[in-house]
Amino acid sequence: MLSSIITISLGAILINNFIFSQFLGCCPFLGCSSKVDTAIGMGLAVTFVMGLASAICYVVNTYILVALHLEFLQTLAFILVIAALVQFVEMFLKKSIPSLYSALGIYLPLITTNCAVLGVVLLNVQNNYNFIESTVYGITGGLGFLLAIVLFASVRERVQFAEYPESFEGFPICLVTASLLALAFMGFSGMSIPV
Amino acid sequence: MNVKKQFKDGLITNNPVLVQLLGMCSTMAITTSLFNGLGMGISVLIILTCCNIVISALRKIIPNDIRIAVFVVIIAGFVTIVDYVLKAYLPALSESLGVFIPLIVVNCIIIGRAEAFAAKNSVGASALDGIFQGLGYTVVLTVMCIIRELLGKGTFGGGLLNGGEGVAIFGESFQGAMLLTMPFGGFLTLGCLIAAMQFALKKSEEKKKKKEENK
Amino acid sequence: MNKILKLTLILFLVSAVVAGVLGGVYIVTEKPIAENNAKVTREAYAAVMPEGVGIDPMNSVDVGETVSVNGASISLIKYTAADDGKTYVVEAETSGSQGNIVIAVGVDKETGTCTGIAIVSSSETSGLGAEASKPAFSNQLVGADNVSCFITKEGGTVEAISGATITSKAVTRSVAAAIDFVTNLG
Repeated sequence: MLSSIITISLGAILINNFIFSQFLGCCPFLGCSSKVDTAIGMGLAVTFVMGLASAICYVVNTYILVALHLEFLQTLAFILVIAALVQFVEMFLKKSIPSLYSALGIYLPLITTNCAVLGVVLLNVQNNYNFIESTVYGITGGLGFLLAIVLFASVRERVQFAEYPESFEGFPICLVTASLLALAFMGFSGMSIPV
Repeated sequence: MNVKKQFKDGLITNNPVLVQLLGMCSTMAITTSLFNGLGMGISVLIILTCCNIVISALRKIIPNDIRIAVFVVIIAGFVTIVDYVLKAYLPALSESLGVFIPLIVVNCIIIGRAEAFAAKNSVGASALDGIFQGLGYTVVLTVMCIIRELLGKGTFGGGLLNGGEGVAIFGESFQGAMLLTMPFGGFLTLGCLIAAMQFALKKSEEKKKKKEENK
Repeated sequence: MNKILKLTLILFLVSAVVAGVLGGVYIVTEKPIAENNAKVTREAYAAVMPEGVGIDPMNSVDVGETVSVNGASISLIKYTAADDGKTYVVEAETSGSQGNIVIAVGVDKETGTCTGIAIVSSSETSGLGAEASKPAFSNQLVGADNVSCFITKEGGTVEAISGATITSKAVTRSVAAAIDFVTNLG
């Protein structure tokens, strides 16, 4: 059990990083990474929602959809759970932890359309993970996202001062930067984890 | 809104991927063979057009407060339909696109066009918008696929031509830079494409300005 | 409160209509999907058999065992005996470079060698799984035993797919696991 959790964690954070190897969550990754502070905020919010969504969707899927043979409603049910969850988290934070809310507030609605969240839930089903594995995969997948976005934001802060062709202004140079980071992360794919 | 302008918007001046920068995940993830790119592009085109029509038709009934939730439900419905139809009649495509078919639900192009266009315009205009934006997306995917496949594997039309192997352009012994079919290649190719687009748009603007000055 | 009730009702109605439509689509596509899956499995099984040997995937026996080969964990899903009584097909799942790969491995129990491999399903987005099913790679494994079936880097005789060492490792390790499993079958 413990070994499978370690395998899943290392896999989700480094080897199969959501952004650099699976391309899940690229929109907020490119959109919210111009400053390290906002990147940390976004990363934390995503980690939180991914962990919760994995746990809740596991329950919904196993005890409602699979039990009633309604698997064809998976996509619909998951996206509704995620949207409701994000809304709920937003309200909860606003009332009880206003400081965290003001830090994360503007990113929360964006998370509904973050494909990393729906992606992790769908992958949990595809990989037949149990409750604990699903939750761990959700949280560590989020941590992988956090690591990627923080690394990327700190590189981007420097890139602003670099000279590059005019046409690469804005997004293109970011994508080139991201490609180099993806190349670096490919190094992890050679790691094999002993069981 | 005239058809010609919408066509130009969707394909060039307001291209969903290269200018609006929407739907990047799938653009980079699945563009490794022509078959994947065309399949994904056409799936999105169909879903986008259907969603635009339905949302535009219902735009006066849907209460403003829950419009996003209703949009998402409608989109998820169409995506699941396409997902099952592909699984049933085009299993090879469904297998190779995998999790990225259900992920069309959160493809920002669809929710973006629903919110920005279909919720405000007539059914006919929304349908056209869906088709042209979908075409713009498909064209970008196809170009990405052709570049990545050609440099990465040295083939053209993988999954479609020559029994799925693709036609070897540089001869059978060409090994290709597999790196380009990896995530690295996805980011790099898209970055260069957007840069090329920005370059082209800037050049055409300068030309226009010069013309006006000459007048 | 009345307003919230009304909004909830509308959202519920929309969801109910969508769910109804999806139910219809599901009923229509259920059969073709099941047929496709069965066809893929049948073809994969037929491809790994030596010529002229028949096999029926319906006779499979579930295994549900996980083994470790060179540090990678490989789960053996099920095995099926062929008509000739000495060849078996084992379905094994392992993680490749981007996702899981399920492969069918044909094994001759008497000689302890592989009779062929086929990819049953692969979630590797960059099409690496497909590369492994091409004859240039998969033919190398025909006739290999549980020592020579590894890639050259791991002491075997199989040339890895260029640029896809990880996928090649995953596939060859699964083959080794399958051969060991079949030769130890009672």
